[in-house]
Amino acid sequence: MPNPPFRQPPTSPLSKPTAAHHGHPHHNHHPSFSSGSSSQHPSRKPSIVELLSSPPPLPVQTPDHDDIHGFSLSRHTSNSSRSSSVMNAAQHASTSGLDWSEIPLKDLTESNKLITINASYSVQKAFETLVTHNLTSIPVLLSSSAKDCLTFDYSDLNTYLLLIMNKISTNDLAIHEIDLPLGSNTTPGTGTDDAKKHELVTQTISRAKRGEEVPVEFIIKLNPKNPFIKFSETDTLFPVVETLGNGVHRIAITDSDNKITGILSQRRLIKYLWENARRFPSLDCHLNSTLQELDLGSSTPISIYEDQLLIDALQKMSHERVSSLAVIDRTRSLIGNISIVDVKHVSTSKNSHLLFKPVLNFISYNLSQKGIEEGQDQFPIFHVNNQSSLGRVIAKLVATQSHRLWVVESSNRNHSNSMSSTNTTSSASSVNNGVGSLTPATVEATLGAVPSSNYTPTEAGRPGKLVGVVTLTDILGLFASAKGKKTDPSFARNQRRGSTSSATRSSFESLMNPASTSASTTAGGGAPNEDIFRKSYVSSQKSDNVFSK
Amino acid sequence: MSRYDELPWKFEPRPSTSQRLNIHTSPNTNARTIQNIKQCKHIPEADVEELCSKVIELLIQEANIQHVDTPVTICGDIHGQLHDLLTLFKTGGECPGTQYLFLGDFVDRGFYSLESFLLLVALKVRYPDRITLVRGNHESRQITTVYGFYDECVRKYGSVNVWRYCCEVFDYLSLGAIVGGKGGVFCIHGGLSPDIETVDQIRILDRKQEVPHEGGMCDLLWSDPEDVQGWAISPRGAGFLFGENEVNTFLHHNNILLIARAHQLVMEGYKEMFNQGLVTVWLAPNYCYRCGNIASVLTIDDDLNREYKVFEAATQDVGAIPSKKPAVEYFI
Repeated sequence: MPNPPFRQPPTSPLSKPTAAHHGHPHHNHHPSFSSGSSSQHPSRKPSIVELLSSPPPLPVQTPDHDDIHGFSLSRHTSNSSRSSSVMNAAQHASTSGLDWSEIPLKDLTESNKLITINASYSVQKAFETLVTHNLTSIPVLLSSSAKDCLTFDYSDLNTYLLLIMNKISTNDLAIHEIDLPLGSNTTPGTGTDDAKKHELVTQTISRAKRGEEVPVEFIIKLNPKNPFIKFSETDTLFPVVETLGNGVHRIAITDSDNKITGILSQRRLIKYLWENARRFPSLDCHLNSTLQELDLGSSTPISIYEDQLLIDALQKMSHERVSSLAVIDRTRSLIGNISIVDVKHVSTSKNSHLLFKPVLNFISYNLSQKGIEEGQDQFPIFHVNNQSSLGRVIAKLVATQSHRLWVVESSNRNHSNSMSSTNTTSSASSVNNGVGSLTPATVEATLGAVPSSNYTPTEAGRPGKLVGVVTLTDILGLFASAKGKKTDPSFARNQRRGSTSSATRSSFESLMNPASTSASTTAGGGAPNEDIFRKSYVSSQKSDNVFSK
Repeated sequence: MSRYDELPWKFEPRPSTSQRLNIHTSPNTNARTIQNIKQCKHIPEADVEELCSKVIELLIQEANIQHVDTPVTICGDIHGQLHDLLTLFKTGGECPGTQYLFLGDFVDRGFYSLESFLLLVALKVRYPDRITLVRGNHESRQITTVYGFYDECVRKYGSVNVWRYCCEVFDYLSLGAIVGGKGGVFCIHGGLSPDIETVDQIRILDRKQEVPHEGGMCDLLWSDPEDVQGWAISPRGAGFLFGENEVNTFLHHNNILLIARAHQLVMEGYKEMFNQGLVTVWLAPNYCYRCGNIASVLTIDDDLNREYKVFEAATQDVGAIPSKKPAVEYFI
């Protein structure tokens, strides 16, 4: 690289010309053979791929900027017109003056899209509602006041399925969250109370196995989940990002009457932040850094082998309290991905045979279904490597509408052009790639090729060995910590794992936000013991807006 | 051997079965093979190996962007729908009478991926100048292991060998074609790449490899046109979305009039975009036996005029498609 572009300090992102925006010497996204373009331009322009790893231009309409190509990522747009559009955005931001952390939640409410269901719905009907509206989670109103609220999502359906198939024991569930029917002579805190709950649970499961209807309330209380956190629409994004950065996937937005007016998910929030990133200078500081530099993501992703049975994968997700698993072959090469949402494909008799087939069959089925529905096939797995920039990671997450990207080993596998049996036929080669990789070739590659007679699909063009995962939780947590708030990406998951023991939900919730400590000591009306456990859902006067200032 | 020296890579051609055993295959054998494939008869594994070897010997000599003369009929994704491919030959004219250019995605999904691919390969061996095969994103080891072709091969042959032979052929397929020379039609499976401005840049790529996960060669097979400003990351997880400006720039830079591509299902069989600068064609009618779309092909004549022919799914023989009894679905 003859003229390394100089790197702007992160404090003035909006004033730096876009050409230097990604002049990061550490990650090299230069196309290796677009010699045509670089020889024609005296200063090094960022490649298109680099530009796409930066936040999109804002859709600002200014009278003195008719040239629509100023907003284009087309390589033939001049730098000056591009930077002027950025300057216009800066002016816009300075007049409104708000950084992302000060944006009120109300700006993100999409209340016209809110669907809720009643706690008396059957599990089947609740599932059908998810499918009809193409949702992955839905609020369940526990009472007519519409303030008590839990959610039904595919982790509940998964638990329900596994219970029916005798694949999880009731000890793994939050039995104490179940309400005994009124008038059943409860003596709180005694063994008989617990025993009665156990019996109720067992009976209900038997009914489910017989194909009888079971109210959704049963499963959503039984399944160990995080409480459904509510924020007021007057709250700012800052505490929301902090909560989501702790691993919670979505929160409820409430109005001044404490009625739920909308849901904000991690996915929707990251999309909003990315598309508006040029308005928010504080987001810019890490976008050029690599995952490795930021130490972002987990290096112990939870995975399953392609030849294990699907039912084992579902069980693993339930047991580990995670919403997806990487699917790998026996050499740890990444093949695909199973999400808890995929349980919707095996919830009816038509496809239940897939439960006892290898996971790879299920992935094939899923990908095929999706491809037919969308009229186009997707790449089997969405992944990045540790040298990918944060901007690139977010851009890909937003474009693919994913919750996570799997991190694979970056390798410079040599490809062979020979047909002789002593060389491998090639796998993902970086020689012709626009994105170079700076890590040395893997041991396997340097040790030499696999003879083609031993050629198996397990070596065939796989993206590489799975080494980690980066999620929306990690990224939102990074944004929160950039503002001074430490988050723990595994917090919510640990809460789910711990919530099968008694009296933990509300205490964890108070840990999550110090503002709610007052709520954890009071009990609402009714039987005191049960209410301690359900405190997070009960809208007593104090605990209503536990996160309000 | 001088022709081989011009190529940007070195290779060693593998002696075909017939050469090793000193058997001279005659055109009659090929004709018989073609007939057998059309009737879905089992082709012995050794014959598949030989067929693949022979076609590789031809493909090696082809350029990354193959020049194709007019008139030619351009066809999109087939995805194993053999009977619809046969319908095409009946209505559009049999090869070699009609010259064909196929834009990839021969395999995966349909129940007859292997037969569809072998038919095209056999026709290529028999009439090398009358049919051109371009690589699609499904002509890839990674994709075929999850989208059905691998399973089909193992099911029909009890081993992975046939799949391996076919994957080797995939590696040699051209990346695209230009029909009619200057002012003609640029043909690729997917779309454009931000790393590629000129056709010459494609010519110097090393294509003999598994489809990479990113970069120019990947993008050509994975990208889609879209109403975007400039470029955008593709929701598919590979390739890019490209807008009208990029198409116009590419057409202008490379002195071509039209980009013909496939890669996306089109209900009406074909779809022109960007002021007729780009067209998507799709060959599999009633895709996956349930999408209800029609199919189309694009014929380019000697004056570089376009003619679209559409057709519906053929009424199938009862035995042709494995039937699925519609079952009553019960919740768990």
